[in-house]
Amino acid sequence: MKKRISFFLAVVMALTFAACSSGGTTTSEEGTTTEETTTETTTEESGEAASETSTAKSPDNDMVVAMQADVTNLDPHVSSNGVSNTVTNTMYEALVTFDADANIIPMLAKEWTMSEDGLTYTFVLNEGVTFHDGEPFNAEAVIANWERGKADQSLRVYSQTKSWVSAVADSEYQLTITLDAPNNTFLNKLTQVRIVSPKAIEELGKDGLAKQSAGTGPYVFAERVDGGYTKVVRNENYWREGPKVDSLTFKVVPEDGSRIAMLKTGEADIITPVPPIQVEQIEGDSNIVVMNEKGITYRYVTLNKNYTLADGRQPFNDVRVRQAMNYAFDNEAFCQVVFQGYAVKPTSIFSDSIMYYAEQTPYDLDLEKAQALMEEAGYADGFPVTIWVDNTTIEMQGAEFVKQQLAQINIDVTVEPQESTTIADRTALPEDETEVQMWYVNWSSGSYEADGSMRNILHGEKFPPSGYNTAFWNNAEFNQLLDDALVSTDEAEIADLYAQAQAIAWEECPWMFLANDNSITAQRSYVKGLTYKPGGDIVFTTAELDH
Amino acid sequence: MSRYFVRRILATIPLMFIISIFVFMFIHLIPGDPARTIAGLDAEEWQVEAIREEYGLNKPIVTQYVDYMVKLFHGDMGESMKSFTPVSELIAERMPQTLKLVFAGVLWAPILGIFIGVMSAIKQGKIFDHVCMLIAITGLSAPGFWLGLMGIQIFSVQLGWLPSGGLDSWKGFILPSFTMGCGIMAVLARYSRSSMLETLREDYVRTARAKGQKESLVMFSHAFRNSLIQVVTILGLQIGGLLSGSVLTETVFSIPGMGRLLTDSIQFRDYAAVQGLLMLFALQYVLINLVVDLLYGVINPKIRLD
Repeated sequence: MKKRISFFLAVVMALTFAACSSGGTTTSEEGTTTEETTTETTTEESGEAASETSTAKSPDNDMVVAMQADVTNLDPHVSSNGVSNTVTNTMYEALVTFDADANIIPMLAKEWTMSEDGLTYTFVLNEGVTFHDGEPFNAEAVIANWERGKADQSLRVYSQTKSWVSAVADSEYQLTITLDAPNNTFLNKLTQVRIVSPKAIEELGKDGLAKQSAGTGPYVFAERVDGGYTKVVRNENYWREGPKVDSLTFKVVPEDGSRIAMLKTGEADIITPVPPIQVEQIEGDSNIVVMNEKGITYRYVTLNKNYTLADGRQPFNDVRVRQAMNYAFDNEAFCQVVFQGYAVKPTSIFSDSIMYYAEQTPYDLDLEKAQALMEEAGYADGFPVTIWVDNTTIEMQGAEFVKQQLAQINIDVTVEPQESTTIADRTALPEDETEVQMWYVNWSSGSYEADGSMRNILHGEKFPPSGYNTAFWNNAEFNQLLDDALVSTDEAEIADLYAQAQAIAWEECPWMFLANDNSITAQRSYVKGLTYKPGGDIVFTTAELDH
Repeated sequence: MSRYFVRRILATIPLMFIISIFVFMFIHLIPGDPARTIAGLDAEEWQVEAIREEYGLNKPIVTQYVDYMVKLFHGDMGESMKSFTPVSELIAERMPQTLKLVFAGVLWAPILGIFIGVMSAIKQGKIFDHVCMLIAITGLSAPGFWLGLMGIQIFSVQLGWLPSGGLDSWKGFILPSFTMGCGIMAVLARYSRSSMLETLREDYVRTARAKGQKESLVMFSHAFRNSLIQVVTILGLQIGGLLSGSVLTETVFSIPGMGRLLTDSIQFRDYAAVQGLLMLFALQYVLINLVVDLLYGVINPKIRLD
């Protein structure tokens, strides 16, 4: 009988092992992976490589995209987080947009000019464009969208257009927008102002627009199950070259392993995002193309300058301590260990995909220098400190890595993982109430702005709750540079001011600078016609399936 | 019997009332601010304040509770702050998915579990008993989401027999149903085995055997029926937990059910949705326990309380 039991056990173990070896994760050898794997693969290259290795065809003409989260709202004026934008941008369009290199290019507007003083912009609009509900697109339609924001300031579109003083229709297809002050981010922000049919704004309102689409985009809303999927179909009356696929379905698949499985079985044509640790499961598959794009996400740890030790000293108020922490941190190892090589060492205070990026001299690992700086500042024996971090696996791994690195200069870090909503609440407290000491966090500007990449998290006026400057770092010169650049109309001057600002923050180290994550998505080799923007935004306008 | 029934139902009213206070306090007292989540990262403080005003979040918590209960008694569960839809509509949309899932698990697991348990007890010490208990222990110790992912890996990715998610076809039900049911089957197998073994040692079983009754009759009309009392209690608790406990299965198999609605709502601090769902889960728990109590009376007339 014992023999029979052991035979049964062996069968169970063999089955489990078979499943694990093909589906489980391998953690060995990460140290030997070389830097070649980072950022070099671009969309075009990998696309071509795939078409050579695989001749697989799609069984149908319906594209399925498996995403981690659901759209929060289909009304583009209500929500504008990354996932929602991916979906709503298939149905709605703005006057201008970004290309694959984050340059601003025409969309509903054909061309535009800025006045000398930078206060007025005149747009010439495309003719013959109609909304999904049959209404014509023209200057009046844009004005109605601006007015919607003015009337309901809880809408996101209000924040995006609040600097507009007036919007006037010079003719049916010419529009002049006047601003309260010159603003170098105006066009960047305009890419997020999606134009909704004026008739739909009036008749459907917020409730109606959450259940149907009334944009000018290449796809029309078809059906949706909350938490399940959102399906859009090809807009047959699209005003320019549109999609070849019949439909596009965005499925919500929160579990990472399930998304990978769906891509392998072909149930999904595209999955986003792919966690770095799971890339190797699909890398060798000739039917799958992994897209490894340069990211815009900047990962850092804020150092609250007011953090006070039991003896009254404030270590983070000393720039030498802050610099020492950066010298003690091995960014390359961090990128390899936590992100499996799918991240790069930072060379400024925001990613190089962002406009007006200026390269700085990196803080290369130098323990001796770090120890010397700590000693000079009077902290040779270190100090205890707590770091807050989201309670997801990869975030906690990152914070643990920070803890290990800082132990080398005797800083004793306690990692305190918390649920993200709790952290958001606790970090929104004002300077005299906050308990934050170190916060492991990341930031990205979806509109690729330098201002958007710095102001909210580093400007002296952006202490919580008005912003997220949880380092409570306030540098008058830096603030002034940001303010001057914002209202400047001279490209060269703007670039110069932002370069100076970056240099100051880089030298002053209000944060520990950790990494820029790449954004990883994966698709079946028969998927064609997509554009990937820095940060991983997918443009589906000319989506095609080889079937 | 009917008086007992009415009394039990009336007793659920104060219970639900107390539960409502706990549910309301818990979700409001944990840190996190839905207004901030709605407003977004780039919002100004006054915009966040305006949203708090709009949803009455700046009122004292007791006032908010009273407002909520008054509305609830009028059949209004409030509106979701995340999707601007009435909570009742949200739940109605999600419930069929979870019910299907629960049904798929409940359909086979208790029957198979009890069968395995009873047969193991009868064949105590034999190879059948050992194998069954090994399966039961495995089912108990393997986490549901792991079983689900393994199932996907083997039957969807490797063999290509079953879809990896969704409940769109009968094939789609197989893996989720297996994942949901495995734990219940294992628990019931363990409990019904020990309960059956206990009953088999009772005097009346010995008496039945002594008077020369057929062994199968002894087993099923004397022993089995009496061992059911414990099993029904466990079954009630297990099924009660299924509705709210379906979240892992729903996540692994991408099913938009109530479990996932609950976790998403908690993450967002969508108060009205969390309250509505938790009250509903509490209510079904109370009702299932009521049914269990009534079943006692059916199984063993001695327990009938009037």
